[in-house]
Amino acid sequence: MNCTEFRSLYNLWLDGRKSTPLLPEAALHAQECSECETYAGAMLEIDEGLQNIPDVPLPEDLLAYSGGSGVRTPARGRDLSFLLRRGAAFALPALASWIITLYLPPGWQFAVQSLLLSGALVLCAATSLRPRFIA
Amino acid sequence: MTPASGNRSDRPLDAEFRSIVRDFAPQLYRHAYRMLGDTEEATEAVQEVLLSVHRSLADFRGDCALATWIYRIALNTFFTHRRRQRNQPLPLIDPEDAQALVDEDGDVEEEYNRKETREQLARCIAKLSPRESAAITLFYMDGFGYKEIASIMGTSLSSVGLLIHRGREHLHILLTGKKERAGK
Repeated sequence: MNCTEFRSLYNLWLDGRKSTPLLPEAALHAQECSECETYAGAMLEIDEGLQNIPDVPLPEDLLAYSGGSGVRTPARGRDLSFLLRRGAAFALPALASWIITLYLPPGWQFAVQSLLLSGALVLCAATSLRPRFIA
Repeated sequence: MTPASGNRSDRPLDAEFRSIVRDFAPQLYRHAYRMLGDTEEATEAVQEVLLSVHRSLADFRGDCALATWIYRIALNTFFTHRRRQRNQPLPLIDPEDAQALVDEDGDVEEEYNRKETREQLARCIAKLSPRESAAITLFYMDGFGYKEIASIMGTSLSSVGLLIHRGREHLHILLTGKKERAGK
């Protein structure tokens, strides 16, 4: 058994929760190869450490789901990417409306611009109205 | 350890969704926190998962276990959040912190038993590759087996094993800064 085979087998043994004894061939290899013996010790420590990971404290409001029609409106974060997305949602339709109206007769320009800008505002508002299940 | 069975009942969707939130939200949050390493990011990610589940619940046909279906949605969401975090490089453990893990004799065995060391190990999970951290978290924290993880991650059993093995090796490197060499 070479080192690669040993390490593969040893990891599988760890994943089997060490429910069966390690193969004699593997045990023999670990006795003869100091690098693999060290590797096995290190992986065993990691495995045991992972099995005893401290629990994550849950946010108090995690289960504060109001459900049904009472789905909460998000108090969205004020991070830059959110503001940029919201800005783009407004700016792009506004720019499109301005370009389109350049080709319209003067009497139509105001009405079409108002319509498109209203649409842009609705779109902008929609980006910030995402239901939240956790307060 | 899977919190809910895969059998669908005839309960109204809203009641079923409430039940899903009650059964899965804490576990999803823990998983998200371990993968993302940030409370707010984890909460946001769980919100997105629950929203996706709410939207798609009517279309769930029961082809797989409910937990598998929910975790597939969750992993896709968590991977997206990890991609967003890409611009914020996740450094190796602070050298001072790493040194604190090793006692004067360089013996890490005893240190692993200490709570802060285990917490350090937990924090390192968020520094693994997204697929490795997902596999490690599903295996150790969520209690899924190879077969369920393969189904959730859409990969083969051997790939799951490889992800978990590499994940452990990378965690060791992150904790100690040492890579164990192969002899022969």
